[in-house]
Amino acid sequence: MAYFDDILAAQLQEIRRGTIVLACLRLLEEPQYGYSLLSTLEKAGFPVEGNTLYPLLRRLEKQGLLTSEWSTAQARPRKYYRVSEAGREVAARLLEEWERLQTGLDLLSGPRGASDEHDR
Amino acid sequence: MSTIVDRYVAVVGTRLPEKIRRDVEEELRATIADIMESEHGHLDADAAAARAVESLGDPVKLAREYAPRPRYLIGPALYDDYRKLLVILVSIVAPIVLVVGVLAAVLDPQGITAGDVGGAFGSAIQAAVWVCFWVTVVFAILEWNGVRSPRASDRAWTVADLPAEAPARQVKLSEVVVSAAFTLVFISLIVAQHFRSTFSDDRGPIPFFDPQLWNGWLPALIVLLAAGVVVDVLLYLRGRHTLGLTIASTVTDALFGAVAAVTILTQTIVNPAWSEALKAEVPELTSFNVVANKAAWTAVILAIVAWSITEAWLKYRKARSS
Repeated sequence: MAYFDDILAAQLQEIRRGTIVLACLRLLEEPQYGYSLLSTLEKAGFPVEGNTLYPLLRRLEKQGLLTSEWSTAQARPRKYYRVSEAGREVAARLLEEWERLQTGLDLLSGPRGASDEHDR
Repeated sequence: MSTIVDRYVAVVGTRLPEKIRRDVEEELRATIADIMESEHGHLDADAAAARAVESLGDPVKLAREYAPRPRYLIGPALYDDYRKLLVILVSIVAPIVLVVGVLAAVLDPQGITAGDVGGAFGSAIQAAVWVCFWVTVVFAILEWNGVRSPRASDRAWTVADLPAEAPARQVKLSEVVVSAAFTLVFISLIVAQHFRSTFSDDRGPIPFFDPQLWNGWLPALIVLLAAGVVVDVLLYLRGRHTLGLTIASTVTDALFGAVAAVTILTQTIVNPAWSEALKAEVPELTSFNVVANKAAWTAVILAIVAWSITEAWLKYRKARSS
C-alpha cells in the first residue's frame, strides 16, 4: 500500500507542477510578494512548498514572464512580482491548452463520466 | 535578528552565483521574516526562526533550486565518446605496459623472477587506472566548458541519416585467407628450415636457425602465430570486427612481438654451423653484420606488430561506424 501511495504522490506532483506556473501567472495580475502569493495559492487549493515556489518565481522572472520590484513602503523591504505582457500571453495559451485537455478527457471518459456541467 | 536566520541565509548564499546572491539573500530574509510573523508570532524569536527555516527545508537543496547546476561530470552528449575512448585507450595502453614490463624483466641481467612478472601486471593495472582518471578529467573539463561531441548536430534528424543496411558480413573471406595463409606460410618456413637447407654436412641439412631455439623459443612463437590464425578464423565465423576479437588480436600480436624481440635480443639466432658453411661457400662475405644486426631485426618485427595492431583497430573503428 505504501508503494501505491508513493506512486500516487509522484504522479500528483507531476500533474500539479505545471498548474502552479499557470496559477502564479494568473494570480500575479495583482502584484504580490513571495509569502503572500504562497498563502493565496494555498487558499485557492494549490498547495506548494516554499522551497519550490520562491525559486520558481525567480526562474519565471528570468524567462521574462514576471517582473519584480522591491517595495520599501512597508516596515521591511519586500520583493513584489507581477505578470509581464509575455507572461500574460503564455498564461492565456496555457489556459487554452488546459481547456482543450479537459474537453479531451471528458470525451475519453464518455457520456457516463461526463458530468452535467460539461455536457454541451 | 536571530543568528539562525543569518546562518541559514549564508548557507544558501555561498552556493549562489555572485550575480544573484545579494538579491536572493534579501528576498529570503524578507520571506523568513514573513513566515515568522504570520505563523510563529506567539513564539520567541529563536524558536520562530527555527520553525521558519525548517519549513523551507535543507538550505543546500534550496540553493540548488535557485541555481541549478549539473550534478554529473560527463553528460549524455559526451558519454558515448567518453566510453569509446576509454575502452580503446585502456585496451591499447595496458597490454603495451604489460609487454614492456615483462620484456624488461626478461632482459634484466639479474634474471627473471616471479616478482618482476607480478610487477608488470601491477604496472599494467596502474596504467589502466591512470588512463581512466585522466580521460575522465579531460571529459569533465570539456563538459564544464559546454563542449559538444563533433557528431552532435543541431540539424533535425531525417531518414537520410539512417545508416545503410549493415552488410551481414563485414569480414571478407579473402581478407582472412590472406592473413591466415601468410601466418601459416611463416610457421611452415620456421619448421621447414630445420629439415631442408642450402647447406648440409654428413649429419644432414644444416638448419638456418640455431637448433637451441627449439628449446622453448620457436615453439612459443609458433603457438602465438597459431593463436593469431585462430583469431582470424573466429573473425571470419563471427563476420564482424568486434571489440573482443580486436582486443584478442591485439594481445596475440603484442605477445608475439614481445617474445620475438626477447628471442632475438637474448638468443643466438643464426646457427653458427650455417654461418660457417656460408663463409666456406662465399669466402668474400667476411662480414655478416648487416644480416645479423639484432637491433634492426627487433625494430622490423616490432614495426610489423605495431602496424598489425593499428590495422586491427582501424578495421574495428570502420566496422563500428558503418
